Amino acid sequence: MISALVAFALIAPQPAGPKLTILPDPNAKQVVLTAAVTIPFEPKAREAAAWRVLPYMLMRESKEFTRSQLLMYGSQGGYQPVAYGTGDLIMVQIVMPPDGFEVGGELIESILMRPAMRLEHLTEAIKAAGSDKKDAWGEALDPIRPPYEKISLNLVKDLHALSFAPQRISLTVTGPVEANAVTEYFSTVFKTQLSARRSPAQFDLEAPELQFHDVPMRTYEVQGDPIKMTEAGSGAKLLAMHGLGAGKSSSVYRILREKNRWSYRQEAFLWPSAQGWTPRIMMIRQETEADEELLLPMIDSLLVDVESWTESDLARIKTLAKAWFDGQPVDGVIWIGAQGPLGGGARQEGLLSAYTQSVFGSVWSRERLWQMMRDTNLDDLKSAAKQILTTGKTRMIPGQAR
Amino acid sequence: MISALVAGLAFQQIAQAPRLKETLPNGVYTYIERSPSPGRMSVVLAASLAGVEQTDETHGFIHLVEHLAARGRLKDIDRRLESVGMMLTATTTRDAMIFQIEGRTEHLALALDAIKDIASPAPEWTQEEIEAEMKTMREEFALLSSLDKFTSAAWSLAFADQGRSTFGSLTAMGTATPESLRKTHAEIFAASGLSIAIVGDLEVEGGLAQVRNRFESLPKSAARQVPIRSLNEEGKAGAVSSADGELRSTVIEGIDDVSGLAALQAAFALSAEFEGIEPVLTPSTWRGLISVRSSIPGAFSGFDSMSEEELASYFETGQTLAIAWLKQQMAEPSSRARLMAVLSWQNRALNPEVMNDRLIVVSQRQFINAMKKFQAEEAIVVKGGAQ
Repeated sequence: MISALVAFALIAPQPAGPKLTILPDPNAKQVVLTAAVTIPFEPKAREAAAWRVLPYMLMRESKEFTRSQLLMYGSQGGYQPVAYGTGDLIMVQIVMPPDGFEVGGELIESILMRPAMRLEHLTEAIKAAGSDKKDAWGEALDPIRPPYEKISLNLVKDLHALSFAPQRISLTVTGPVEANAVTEYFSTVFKTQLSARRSPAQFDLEAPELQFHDVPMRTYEVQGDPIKMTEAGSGAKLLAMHGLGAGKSSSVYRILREKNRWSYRQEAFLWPSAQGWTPRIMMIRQETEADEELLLPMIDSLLVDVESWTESDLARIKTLAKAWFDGQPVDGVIWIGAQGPLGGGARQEGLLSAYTQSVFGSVWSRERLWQMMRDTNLDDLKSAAKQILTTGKTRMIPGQAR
Repeated sequence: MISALVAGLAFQQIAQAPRLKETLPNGVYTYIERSPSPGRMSVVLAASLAGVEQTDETHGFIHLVEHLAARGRLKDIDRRLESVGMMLTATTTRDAMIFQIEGRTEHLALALDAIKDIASPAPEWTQEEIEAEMKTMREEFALLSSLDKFTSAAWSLAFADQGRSTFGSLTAMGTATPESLRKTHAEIFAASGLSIAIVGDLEVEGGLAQVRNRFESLPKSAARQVPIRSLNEEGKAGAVSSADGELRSTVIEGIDDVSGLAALQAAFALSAEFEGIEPVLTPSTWRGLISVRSSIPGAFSGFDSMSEEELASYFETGQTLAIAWLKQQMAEPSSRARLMAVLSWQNRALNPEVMNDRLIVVSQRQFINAMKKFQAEEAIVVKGGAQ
């Protein structure tokens, strides 16, 4: 339903405020407020660490609300408020009941603009980052190893001030709201002045990458260039990733898991970055002493499968992609965070809208994305898939052998 | 402004939708509910594991059957469903094997055909197929999360052999034969243990008719007995060496029981008030565990010494978050169908409205008692790290 209403999306640029997108849906049962912020530069090592603790710091406490208050007041819509990030992107979302828009606005503005940022919060965040041993898959999703032990509270504060200037925030409000009321409300908030200069940490080295997993698991990856939505061939690339990764009839599932029995988990998906959606094809399997090198066989076997795609496959790929773009609860290949594919529903619409506004400068709705892909022919589909597989950057992270 | 709004929001009732519950003559149970999600529906087949015994020799056969059965008799279920934009997911909990299909209501017949395919007598699986699937199983085992390991340890402590892991034993699974898996399949999918839930944009009577057409021909089977999970009084402390953090669990008599609801509120209160703590539960009306887990060492240290008065101060937070969780579960056809397929089969009187009403009447005293059961002195505690 929401995608049908995108035609009425209102984008309300505020001279000194966030880029506000309003998606009115009078039938919705929740108001969803979603913010997206990208890092304003390529981070060096300590900056990468500071960026990764920011989501925790934002939700820990604000100047107005304790953590418990943020959770309690922000959970009235049935979902706890969340803040999460990737290497260069942070998303914040609050879900409120139909008449809870102003409360949600008050909360999200407080979270974004006035996090309490105490030293003990940073200590907790670093402890959580260090002790939360990600599984090997999580490590492979974000293989950067930033030096958490070297960051200071001032660095985190400065990075927050540089990144969260109101005009850098993309904010989407969906649900049973009056557009004028939303616009008027947000014209009165986001007045906090933030200023900082980039810290000397900009002269750091690059953040190191993970060299091996400390568990006996090995990960393989092919990573394409970020897809620029206005480039020729972007639609074919988006659709090609559906063919490679959507559902159990996808290439990665049929070939890597079912046919070759190489893995239990293998995915092809579009990873959200500040430069655009990045095609990633990943596989994880046990590390064994006699393990053969599977990176090239993985790519070759997928190329063989792509070459075998027929018009019937094209139709199936389009049907499954369209189901996702119609808001059906099927797993697509578009991610807005490490938690997995974007699903259907108002929360997901908020994430999609805020992310695309932030990264591409305009809102890309499901309908608009589908329109890009719908006329892809079989030859273009196969070419796009092959290009991603053959020109992408490759990475293999070994684990400790059993 | 905020506190006044919170008071009003916290106790919104869950509206009752058009709904049918019926048990077919052969024991198959159906729960069908209309929801205002235009054109969408969710179909769930939950096969109860009551009465399906797992021994040392067969521990994991259930999981193996799930993998094989999900493909369908002709191994084409996924392709059939995905060709019309639908997807099948399969999971096995301690209480049920659950298959879920989501898609447009116009494809309801196809979705019901698919779950009928899964529930029908098992095809002739070959030893080669089983061995091929075991390769995937070994990869899945290697990917078990630290949370999986913690919860398995807690269940073993609480219930000994009656708390076996849902994954199973690779050693036992390695002995599976086509005959032994067909026998396990027949036990799991016997009619009296099947629950079919449909939630979506559909006429409930029409949906029931479609279920009847497909499932009333299954042979009748004996009623399933609720599993008896005897408490292991010795089981209070354990360890997981390959992960950090701590898991604390308390035994509940079901999510529809006051012990379960109070524990649910306590778990949410802990997650709100203490850093890095999250609730862990699989909703069921049978005896089981509710847990809270932290990956940060020492996360519970401030909690253990709290007085009753201090614990009481979290009552409102816990109740609000538990109600919010229930609203979330009931908000979408997919989560609603999955929840009611299991819970409604176990307790035929249970409805979302009943659960909501019971959450509201948990008293502060019941909440305090539940919080105390998560303190070190009373909880089942599994610690991470080298011991």
